[in-house]
Amino acid sequence: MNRPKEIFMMTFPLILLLGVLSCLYLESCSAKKEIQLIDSEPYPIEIPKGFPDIKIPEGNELTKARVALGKKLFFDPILSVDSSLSCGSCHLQKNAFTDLRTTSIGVEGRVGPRNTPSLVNVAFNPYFFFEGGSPSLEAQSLGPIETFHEMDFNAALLTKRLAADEHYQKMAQEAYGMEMKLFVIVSALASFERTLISANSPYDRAINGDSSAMTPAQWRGKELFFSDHTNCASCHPAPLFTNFSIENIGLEKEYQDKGRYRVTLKNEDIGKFKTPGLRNIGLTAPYMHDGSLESLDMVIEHFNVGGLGHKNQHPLIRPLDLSDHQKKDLIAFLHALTDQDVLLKPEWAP
Amino acid sequence: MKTIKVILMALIGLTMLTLQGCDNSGCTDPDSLNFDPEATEDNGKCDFPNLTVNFSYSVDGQELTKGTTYTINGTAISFSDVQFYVFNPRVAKDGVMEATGETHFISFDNRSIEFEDLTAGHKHMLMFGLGVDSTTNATIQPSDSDLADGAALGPQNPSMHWGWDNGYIFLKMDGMVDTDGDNVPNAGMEFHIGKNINFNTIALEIHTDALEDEVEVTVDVDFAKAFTGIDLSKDYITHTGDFPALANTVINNMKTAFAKK
Repeated sequence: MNRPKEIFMMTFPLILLLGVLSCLYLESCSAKKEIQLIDSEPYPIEIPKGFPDIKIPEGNELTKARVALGKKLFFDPILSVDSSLSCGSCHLQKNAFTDLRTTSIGVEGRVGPRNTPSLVNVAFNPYFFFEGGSPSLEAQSLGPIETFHEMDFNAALLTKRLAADEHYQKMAQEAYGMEMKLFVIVSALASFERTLISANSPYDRAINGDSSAMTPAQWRGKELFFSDHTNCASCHPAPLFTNFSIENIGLEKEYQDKGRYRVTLKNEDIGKFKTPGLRNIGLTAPYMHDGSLESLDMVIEHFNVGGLGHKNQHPLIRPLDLSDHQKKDLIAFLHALTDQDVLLKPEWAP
Repeated sequence: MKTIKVILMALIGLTMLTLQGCDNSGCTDPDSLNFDPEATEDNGKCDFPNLTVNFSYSVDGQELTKGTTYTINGTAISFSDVQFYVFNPRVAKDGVMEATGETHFISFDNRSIEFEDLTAGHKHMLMFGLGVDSTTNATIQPSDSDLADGAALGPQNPSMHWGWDNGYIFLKMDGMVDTDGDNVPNAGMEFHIGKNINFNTIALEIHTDALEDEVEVTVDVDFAKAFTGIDLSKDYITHTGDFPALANTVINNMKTAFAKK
């Protein structure tokens, strides 16, 4: 009669022990799971008044964890083949995310064919690179990483390199709830770049009621800029000072770099390049896709003479017959588009 | 009692024999390897052949290996990477196409594609797109989150996608060519060919009987043919957009480069 009781008494501590161990195991599992949870706290981003909305791909909504990972990647030379260059090596905050060089310099000092574009307000671009061939910030990020005269690395190898890094693995899990993979790399880089929004220039303050924010010369330049005389604003309309159209401005008579043609293979696209935004242009010399115009004076003079007369040249590029005073006023206005905050924001610094 | 038992056993035995005699189950699919014309009920055990297509690389009859120097059109040339996409390969039997429905990446390290569970019988033609079709080109990126690890359209090394442009490289041939006439390759060769206008269909006769579980076909790719009419000492770099005529010539030449071995 006592046999079952004896068995129960003998096995009870064992069952209890098993139960405790199970609980501990489950707890440890749930703790592991916690690491894998996505940190989905949104990144607060303010779209300036009058600016268009930002298009963000589904699955890459802006969160603090994603922006943090993107920022770490952006400034990490691990992205280049020899770990010598980061995105931030050519896109320097102190230069409004350009490098002041005629054309960019990549690994082993390789000189590229294009001027480094500013990344400020890049979130609003509908397509990327001077020929507009890349459809998203995510997709474009592989361009510099894999280009021979930039970082000269490879997406598959980069993914392996980052996957071997515990810290990056942890950040990938926190940001995207998955192991480090190419999707995570390009998405995080795009997330950080989307935060680079600037709209606190004298021009912005002036049009929002503080007329003293711009000098008289800048006001005169503004009138000229938006006038039918110059038609600058036809391609460079506010608030972003670009309509993103891809145009030939008669920079050369024979284009070595054929621009948009490389994408479409159509002769009418030879020499066409994406219209850049003019915000912070006072900080981003030299100018044009090849950095061939060293100063804003040279840029204004190029448009004043009406370009060099390429067959694909935009019809609005024609002689303007501007006086010296008008040219100076236009340049003064372009300097009114400089937002000094761009150079100082700690959240954009390495 | 005993007699009744014997009778019962005999009846049961007879019934079983009768039932067994009526079992006409088997493979009823005439396109299978084990089609049973007598079967009236399918037993779900039909076997179909798998066909593996192996691509062998050659240069004018010699095996193409990395780093070896060959002579094509009078110019010394060596290859470091030769890779391309095979889009939706299909084989034809009596005018009916059977496809893998996939995009396959072919390189020095990975040179075969497999058709699974084909219909049994003679396969007359092999057809495939050299590259990827315009829809794939426009909608898929190597970084897409839903691509499986190791997917053909995922990141490759060397890369098969243009970061600056939205599209895949259909055919990549990198290496060196001789530009100074000493028969030693000295200048970097880059043939990176893509763009929708360069997407061609390759069709070749393979005349293969798929009548076993595993069947293999070897298709030779003679890369010397890719350069027919090209002076490689002068024209040896195209990324398509910067020299579209050269890219177009090569990709059209490739139509003649594939042949059953």
